[in-house]
Amino acid sequence: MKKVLTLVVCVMLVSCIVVFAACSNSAAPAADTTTEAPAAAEEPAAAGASEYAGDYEITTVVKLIGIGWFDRMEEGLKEFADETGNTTSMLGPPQADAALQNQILEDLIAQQVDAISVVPFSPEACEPVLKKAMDAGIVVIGHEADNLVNCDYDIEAFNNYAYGQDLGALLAEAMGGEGKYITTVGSVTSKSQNQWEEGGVDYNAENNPGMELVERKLETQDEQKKAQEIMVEMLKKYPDLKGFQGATSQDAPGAAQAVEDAGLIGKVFVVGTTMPSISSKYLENGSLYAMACWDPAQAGKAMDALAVLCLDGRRDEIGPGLALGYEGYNDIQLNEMTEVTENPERYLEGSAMIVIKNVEEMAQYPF
Amino acid sequence: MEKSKWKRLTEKNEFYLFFTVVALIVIISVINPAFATVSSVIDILRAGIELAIFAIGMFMIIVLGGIDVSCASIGMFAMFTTTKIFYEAGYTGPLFPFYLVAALFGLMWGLANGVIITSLKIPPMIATLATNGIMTGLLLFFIGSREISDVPHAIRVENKNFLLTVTNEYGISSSLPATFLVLVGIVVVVYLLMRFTMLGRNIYAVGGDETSAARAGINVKFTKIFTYAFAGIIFGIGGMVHTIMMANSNPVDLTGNEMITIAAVVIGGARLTGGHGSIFGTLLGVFLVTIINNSLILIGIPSFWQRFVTGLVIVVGASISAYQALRTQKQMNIEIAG
Repeated sequence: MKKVLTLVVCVMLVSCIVVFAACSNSAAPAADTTTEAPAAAEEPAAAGASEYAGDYEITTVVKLIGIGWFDRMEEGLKEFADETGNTTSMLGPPQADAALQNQILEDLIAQQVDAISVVPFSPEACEPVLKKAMDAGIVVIGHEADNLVNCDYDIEAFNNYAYGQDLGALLAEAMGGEGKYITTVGSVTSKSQNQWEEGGVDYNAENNPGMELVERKLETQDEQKKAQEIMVEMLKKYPDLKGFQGATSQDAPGAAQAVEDAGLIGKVFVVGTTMPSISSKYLENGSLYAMACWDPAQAGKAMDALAVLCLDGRRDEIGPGLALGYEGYNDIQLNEMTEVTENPERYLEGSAMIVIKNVEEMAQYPF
Repeated sequence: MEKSKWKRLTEKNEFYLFFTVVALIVIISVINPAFATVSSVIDILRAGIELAIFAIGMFMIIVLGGIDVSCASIGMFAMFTTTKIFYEAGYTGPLFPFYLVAALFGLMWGLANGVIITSLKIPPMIATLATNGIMTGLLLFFIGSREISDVPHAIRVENKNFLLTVTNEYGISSSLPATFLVLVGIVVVVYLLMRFTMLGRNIYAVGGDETSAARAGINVKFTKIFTYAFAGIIFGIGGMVHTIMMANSNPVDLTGNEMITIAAVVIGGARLTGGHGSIFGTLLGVFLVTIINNSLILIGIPSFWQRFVTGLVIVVGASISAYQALRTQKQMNIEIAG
């Protein structure tokens, strides 16, 4: 009996492995199915007309595949391929994991792609691999990683601090410039989220003396449930609370749910970084005043455009004032928030903040 | 008679835990009187529903002498797969099928855990760690990693289905959601099962001493598989409750919750060695953990310190249980010696 059982288990294991191997084999090219050269060849005129026309192979490696955010980025990359004739693709681990991301980067070095654009899970963790890529002559462009050392350029959607200030201004607008408010971050160690928070808080401290920050940087651990519970607790502690500024995509919807359930729509105002696919219902019922974000599709195009400029040997064109031709990236500036001192002119930023305040605007951003 | 009754009471872990909870409530209320209100009670009950459901499933397994670190993943798998199926099908019917399908997924994984543990004789910790990995892998790879916020109509309706709503003097409402009834149902069923059925007594017996239980004619294998499977159903339902309460199904949402679940059960007096524990104790443990998690900001403990304080309370709570166990054991030894 036991032998039979062991045999059955072994057979099951082996078949599982076979199935998985088959799946991952078919999945790898499936993830690659962005526009290949033929599609571009059908429209040679369009491709030739683009400033970034070329025959380069540019692969984007993201933190995590299968989520709305990066699906949207992939759409942008496909459009870039259609417009320019380059071959673009997007890869990423199915789980947010620095080691898995490094594996993918290693594979790309072996494949000798022309350029890698990367949205690292942890910039520090992928430095050695990216150094290897650069040594192999591959152009490396980073995004959401303004302390990445081993890259040709890093492009941020915006200045994190300025984005925070705009978020703070949005909250002030909702609150009429007065009342108590709180702020959250996913974790006090998350750099950009803390910069956003500080931008907002500083802005209101300077411009709206009527606004009182009662608690700041409460940690939501990126969980809607936690954000909701924090808001419930805060409403108890400060019954006259009037505003909430969130950082992770889960903060604002969680707080909005608490506001809705407490019957305080129109009395307490929630703003934060989040996106339509997560928070549409709260914007619709008014418990969320406004959401702010940036469009990953445009960010993807901007990364690949920079890659093409590098590959074409047109690096001298890259600098303050550069217009890439994509919404939010038409007046590139140097990013002064970077902590890297070596060649700081490599760190760039756009002005790609999007603010969505009503349902009509939401329809333009399906991600 | 009176004395022995009192003595029996003081030997109970729940007795001390109950006073710990009361003391905690008093301390928090003194620091911030806003805590001592009816709306607070409702808010705490609401915040604890999900943890309580998971803890009751875990309680059964710990009494059995096992452990299940895949509980959060079972819940996650059940809730997300169920939501996805109904979402893709454009389902517009009533809510019950959601619970049913989620319970079935829970049963499936619970059975898998039970069978792997009993047939392959793998220690429960390792076995469930393995199924945990398999489950999250399957979930993210085959079923999807994109959270569903546009949940089916029935979930949205249930999300706003409240048993009672209390509005305080500032016009802020606190509501107890209908999912509380799911918890009550589970508590009643598990209480009856553990207290009044042969099967329930067998779970205690197997947890106490597996060899003796087998010699006494108990079908140990069946008891184990049953417990893991039954707890699996509870985890599946617990996952669905999470989705309903958040009106959002995120396939990474519950990750890591297994630790707080186990902590709550252990604080509640169930011993990891098996054979001991009560539902009442488990619920007190959940209550303690939930109060701590939902009042640290209220009493002004800064973000940096919150995890520290939560950890500290778990250590203190668990040591009370451990100390009680030790004391009882010592007394027993004396009695035997005497």
